[in-house]
Amino acid sequence: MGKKNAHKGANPPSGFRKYAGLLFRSQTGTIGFFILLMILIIAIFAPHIAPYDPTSVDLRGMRMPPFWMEGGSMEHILGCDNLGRDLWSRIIYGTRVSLLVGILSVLLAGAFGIVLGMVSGFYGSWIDSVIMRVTDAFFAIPRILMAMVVLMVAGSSVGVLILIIGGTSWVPFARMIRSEVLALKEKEFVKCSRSIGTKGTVILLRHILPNVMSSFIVLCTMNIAGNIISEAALSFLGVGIQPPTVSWGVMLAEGRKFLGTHWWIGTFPGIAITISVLGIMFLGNWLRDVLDPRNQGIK
Amino acid sequence: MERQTTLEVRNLNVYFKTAGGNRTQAVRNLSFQVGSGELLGIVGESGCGKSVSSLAIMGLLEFPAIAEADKICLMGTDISKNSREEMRKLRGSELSMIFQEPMTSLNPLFTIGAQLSDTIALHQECGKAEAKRRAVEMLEKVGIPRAEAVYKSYPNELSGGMRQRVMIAIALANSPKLLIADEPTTALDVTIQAQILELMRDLIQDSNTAILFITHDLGVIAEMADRVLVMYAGSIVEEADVMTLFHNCAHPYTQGLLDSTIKVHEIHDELRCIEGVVPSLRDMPSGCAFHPRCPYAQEDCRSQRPELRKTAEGHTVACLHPLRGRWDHD
Amino acid sequence: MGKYMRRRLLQVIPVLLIVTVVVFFMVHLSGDPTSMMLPQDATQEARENLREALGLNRPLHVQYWIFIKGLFQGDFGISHKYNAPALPIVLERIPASLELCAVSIVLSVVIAIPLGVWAARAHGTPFDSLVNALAVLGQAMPSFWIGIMLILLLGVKWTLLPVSGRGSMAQLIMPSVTLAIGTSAQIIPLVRSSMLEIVHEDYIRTARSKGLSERTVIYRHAFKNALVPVITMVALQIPALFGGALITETIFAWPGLGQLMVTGVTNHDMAIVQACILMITFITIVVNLCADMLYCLIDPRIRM
Repeated sequence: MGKKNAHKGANPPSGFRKYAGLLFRSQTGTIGFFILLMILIIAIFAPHIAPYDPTSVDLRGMRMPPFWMEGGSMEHILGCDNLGRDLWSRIIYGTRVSLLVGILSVLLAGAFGIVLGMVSGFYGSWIDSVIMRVTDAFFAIPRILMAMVVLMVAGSSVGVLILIIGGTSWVPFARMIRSEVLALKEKEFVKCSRSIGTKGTVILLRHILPNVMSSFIVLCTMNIAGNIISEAALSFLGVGIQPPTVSWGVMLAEGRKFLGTHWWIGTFPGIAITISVLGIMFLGNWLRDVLDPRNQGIK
Repeated sequence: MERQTTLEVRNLNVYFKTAGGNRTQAVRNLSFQVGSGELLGIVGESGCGKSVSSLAIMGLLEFPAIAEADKICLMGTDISKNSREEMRKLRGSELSMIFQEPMTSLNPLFTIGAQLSDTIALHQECGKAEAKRRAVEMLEKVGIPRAEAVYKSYPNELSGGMRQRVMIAIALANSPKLLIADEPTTALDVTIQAQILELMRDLIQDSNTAILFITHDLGVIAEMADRVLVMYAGSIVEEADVMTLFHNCAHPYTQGLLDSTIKVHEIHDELRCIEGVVPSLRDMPSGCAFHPRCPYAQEDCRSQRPELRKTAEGHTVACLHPLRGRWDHD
Repeated sequence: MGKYMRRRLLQVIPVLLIVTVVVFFMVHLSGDPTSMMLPQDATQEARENLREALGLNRPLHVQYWIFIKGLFQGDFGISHKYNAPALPIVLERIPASLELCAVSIVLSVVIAIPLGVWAARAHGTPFDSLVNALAVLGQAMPSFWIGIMLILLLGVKWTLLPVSGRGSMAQLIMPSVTLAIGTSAQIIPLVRSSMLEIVHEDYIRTARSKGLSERTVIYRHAFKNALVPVITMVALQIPALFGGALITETIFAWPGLGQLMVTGVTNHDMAIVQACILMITFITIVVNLCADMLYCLIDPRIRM
């Protein structure tokens, strides 16, 4: 005979409210979240936020320094580049490219990696060996190099950029998912499922996939940061985004030429990249703490 | 042989500092003595404070655990106020400890020999070659075959029983005055357990080392101990020599422990156990800590905390209504 | 050690093969290599002639076979910019790149390990927080931006160091520091968390119970154990390091493989580009093998 739980207080928050509460308890998590939110808003509403068109040239503003320096003005807060284009507007529009390439390439890499990882870990034997050797091969080739070669041959469009960055960054996904699957495979509930004859694919989708989801989400988040830097690097080298499309990497390449005289052109885009990556990393770390499989239990 | 008092502990208290400046008491007013060549068994369930007490004596407690005592005397010298450096000098030479988990107590990256001879070289102030010689000798003494080969091997190449022998070798290498053995055989198979216990008995027979043997296994106590301390929820509830404890115990908790061991030659209809669970440190019952689980509890047990009192020569008990034994002592 | 290393070596061979496959097919499936080699207004006929001359009209697997055969014979193709075989040009650049990468790795290890250990010892203090913050910042800043900023501050604003070229020690400083900052930012948190974890292990308690000095316990015992995951991490960083070195070499005009590759891409010099990527990957794999050997030496459990 059990006593009924007579909780008179409010029910513990679940779902969204619970996560919101957890988020705001973490300093870095909150910072990360707001940075990311800010970037998203800037990217989506760029035309409304940017004071100027990023490609428009203001002859009077050519090489104008930021407003706090002599010769600067509030018309161009962060100054202008060598062609007289407003730096702040260009940075705003740069968020679009970074987010687009970053997120899409991660989705691509994640999809590819998670499939390979699950297949490799679950079916084992020669499939695993083959996939692992392929993974090793892709891992050994430095990503930037591979991307450069492909972009050289296929041309530098945004689409190719997303494909190649995604196509070279799937290795961490495959490896991590594989090791999680290997561990899950030994768990009782999987063995039970197999013993009653459930098909492999069904086990993978119904039992294993939900349990690797949390690590997958964390890895996705962290990889967005990495891929944003990859895009910037490739654009910096001249094989990524091509003008007139605005990318922080392209801006850095331009800024490099004018380091001696107009340092701001090369400095602010770098700060923008750093802040974005910081925000994503903070959020990713918070997600990892919160979605720790040890706190989750088996689904 | 005149027995010296190797270790005297008076009113050892250990508590944990928790958030908000609060304290949780883990060990309360622990007092006991061990003489040279004597083996004192400490018995109790998990969480009764036995391990924490031994770590306190060794000076190995880490924040947030804090130990305070009126005195802890080793061979007559009070070490309770020693600095960290002074305690460090005593460890491994005058004071030694063996731990429960032989599988993780040895550093996997260093050879057995390295881990044995470093303590010899440190405390016996001899050169490397001499330390190695003594180390191999020690390994042979603890019954390890092919000691030279084992000296060069790594912990993962040895079984649990062998590793525990190595731990014993390390602990006894410098002929300490006091050896604390914290559940040394709990993690081992029964047959290996018997071997290790026999080894320990042989080793201590000729030496004057005092031994504090901590365990929850009464069978081991029966085999090894001269005297026994029974602990519950951080305090001693009974102290007696081993014969008296097994035949004439006075505390209901001890009786419960004895009853719940399965005796091969008796036939029971059901397993006897002690009702309830060990109270958490933060939620201690009022009065006698054992009263909620005691089949003989009376009104005053709920309000008054019993002190240790002598019921007979060498037999003390902390109970307001101690049990009468099969034969009465005056 | 033998068994484990033999297994690793055996694994390397298929990986090398797969690398050649990946490189080859990525290049040939991405588009028409000749389209970049000829001017925009080249006639269709000229294109066809070039394709025929380069053997691009044969079936892919045949081309691959020729490619592989050539590799084994040391023929990595002819650079059309230098009008010379690609391999010797590439080999000539290796010392410069190795110098840069080796110095960077050493520098990052020398910075990261002490900082990580000190941060662990000073757990909870402001110093710990500072180190963590710096590590996070170092991970977030792109290495090429670090390079640019270093040039700005140390080369332009205050002309302390030369900003390009190779030859003197001074010229080595900025590029290697640029790379080292990013790598050490990855290593520091790992060293720190590794030390923090290990300090609570049972065998550390045993070491203390033997009366060993705290110095010995931390710097001999705990540190050696903490090193194991760190070596793994450093080894994993190597491909990223080489990739980063590529950009750094470009920024600082460091005459290494990376810079050769970038100019190769700009010139659409297929042979050079292919040779570079294969060489760099090969070196990566070799370095990883060395890291594995180091791992073996330190951790006896691996040898089993």
